[in-house]
Amino acid sequence: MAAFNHPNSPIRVENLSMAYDSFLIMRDLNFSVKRGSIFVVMGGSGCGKSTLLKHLVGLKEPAKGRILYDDLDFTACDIEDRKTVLRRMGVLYQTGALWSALTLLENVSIPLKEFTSFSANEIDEIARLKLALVGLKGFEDHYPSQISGGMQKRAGLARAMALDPEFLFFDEPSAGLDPLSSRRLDDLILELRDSLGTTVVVVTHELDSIFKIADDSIFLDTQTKSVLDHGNPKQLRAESPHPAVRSFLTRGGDSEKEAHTI
Amino acid sequence: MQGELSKAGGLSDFYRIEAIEDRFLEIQLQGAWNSSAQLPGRDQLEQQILSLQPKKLFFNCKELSSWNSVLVVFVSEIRRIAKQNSLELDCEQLPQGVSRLIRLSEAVPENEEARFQDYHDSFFEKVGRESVKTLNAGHDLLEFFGRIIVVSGQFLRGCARYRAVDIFRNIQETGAQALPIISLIAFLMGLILAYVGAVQLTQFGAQIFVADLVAIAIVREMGPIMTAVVMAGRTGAAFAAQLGTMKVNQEIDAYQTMAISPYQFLVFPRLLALCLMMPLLCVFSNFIGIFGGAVVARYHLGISWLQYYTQVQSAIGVPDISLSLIKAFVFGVVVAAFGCYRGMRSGNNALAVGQAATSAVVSSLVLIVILDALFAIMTGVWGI
Repeated sequence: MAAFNHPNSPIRVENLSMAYDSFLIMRDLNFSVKRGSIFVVMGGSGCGKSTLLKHLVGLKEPAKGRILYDDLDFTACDIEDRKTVLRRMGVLYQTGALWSALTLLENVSIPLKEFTSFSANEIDEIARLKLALVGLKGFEDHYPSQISGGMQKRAGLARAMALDPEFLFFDEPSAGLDPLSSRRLDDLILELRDSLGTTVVVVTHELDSIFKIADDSIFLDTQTKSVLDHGNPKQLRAESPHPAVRSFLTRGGDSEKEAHTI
Repeated sequence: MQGELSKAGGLSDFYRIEAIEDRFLEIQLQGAWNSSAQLPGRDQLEQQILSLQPKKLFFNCKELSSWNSVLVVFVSEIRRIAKQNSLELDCEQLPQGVSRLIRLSEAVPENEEARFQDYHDSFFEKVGRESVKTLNAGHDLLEFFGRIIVVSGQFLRGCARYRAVDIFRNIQETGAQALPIISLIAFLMGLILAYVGAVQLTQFGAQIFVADLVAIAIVREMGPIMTAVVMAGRTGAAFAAQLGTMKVNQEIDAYQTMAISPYQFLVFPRLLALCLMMPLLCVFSNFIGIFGGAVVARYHLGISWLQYYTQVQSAIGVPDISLSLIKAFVFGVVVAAFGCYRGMRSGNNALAVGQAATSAVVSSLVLIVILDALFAIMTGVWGI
């Protein structure tokens, strides 16, 4: 179960309400993410998962409530503090969002150039290593438009990992990937947590992926516009008091299928 | 009674409605129900059925050879009519697939909340909403210009972060690559002015003043204006489209979450490149325009190159050229700023990127003309 106000929870969300203009999307969200854990935000399509992610990374301002990074109010702090927090995070967007005018190597190098004091050679080495980690060795000088969607996503991950961030955010990481690539991505996410102790927040509705990687999760519900349940997805699948959550996690409540999913 | 379906000509009839026994109605489906089948209008069908005052409806599909969703739509329509008029409907005879599809389409009930409500605002509500919108847009534009000024300040103090290579690439795109189109327009502009002047001035035997006319008109007005118009269409639209597409691809979000300011990284190199290139392009365009006039003077009016040259020299001085350069710089700021502004504020779809490009051109053209009028008034008042 998610621990509220735990000292070991670097990301805390308190009474967060999200809205587009006057259209309320979610109200009074409360949850916290433990350090070095993989936290999954799940829910049906269009329930506001991606919007929540946009709030967490500062692309949208909350209608109400606070988002705290190590007790620093991310949404109300001044611009310099905010930049410091931003430098501690990496974001992988749904489509990769690579800078299309730059080669893959330049894409990965830019954060390094901006925020480290490495020499040009070192930056080059690090950027090549990151691209190799996501299996894109040899594509350093390609432009994003010259590679496939799945590769763009992996390159996006290489860029997000460039500065070895403490927090990594993934927006629908397996969307548009073939089963093998998506599994490799899951393995990579687990590896990042285990080897570097990265805190990972993943927005997804891929069940295989959820059961494989999640330590903790919340389920967003459109009807009540709030968190319907939270906890480890495997436990939720078996024990959640909410039929909507159980049915989501079992692909519609089929007990036979339940036995097959991991 | 027979269904009137063969409006397109050559099509067979697809159904018949026949009354059998006491107020029992048989709907006979026949032939191939595919995309070439034409459905009767709702009202027409309803009328056909109700005119026979039935109690119960049957389908007869013995002569139906094949079908697709056209038939499903037709049957749904009959179901609706039956339900509304509380008639009994027997669907037993229908192909099983049709019944299954209908069941599937009704499996998820209609989401009442999802329908858009029709708003009928009063006049005052509309005025109010539009005023708020305009006010917000003005606020937004001011914020954008504020950011540009901040970034320019950071650049002057040497603490702006950008890639120098971006500036050079933009200089090449907005400068060197614009020369052919600028040359063509400027040359023809000089030519046109000279012809128009020649017709009038020849009447007074004052052909030589064509040189004055062309030089002054080109340097003070047409040079900067035409360059700005070309750059608005060429570069302003390109800036808006580039930044708009980046926004759609979340590239701009990616800069923001990396704590890299897109204003420093994307907007500023474009702005700087265009502001540097516009005065240079304008000087170039002035020369070509005056040369265009010279060609007319030489071959149409018989004025020698040298005469034309000395006349031009006496006609324009430092104030005219300075005015030309200042105007070009200001227009450059306008074109680049509106191009980037519309791009950064573009919506998140292909249509919105197109609108961003259009409005970048339109708003910079409008502002250029207004500013040019202001320049004309100011120079008139100050006698420059």
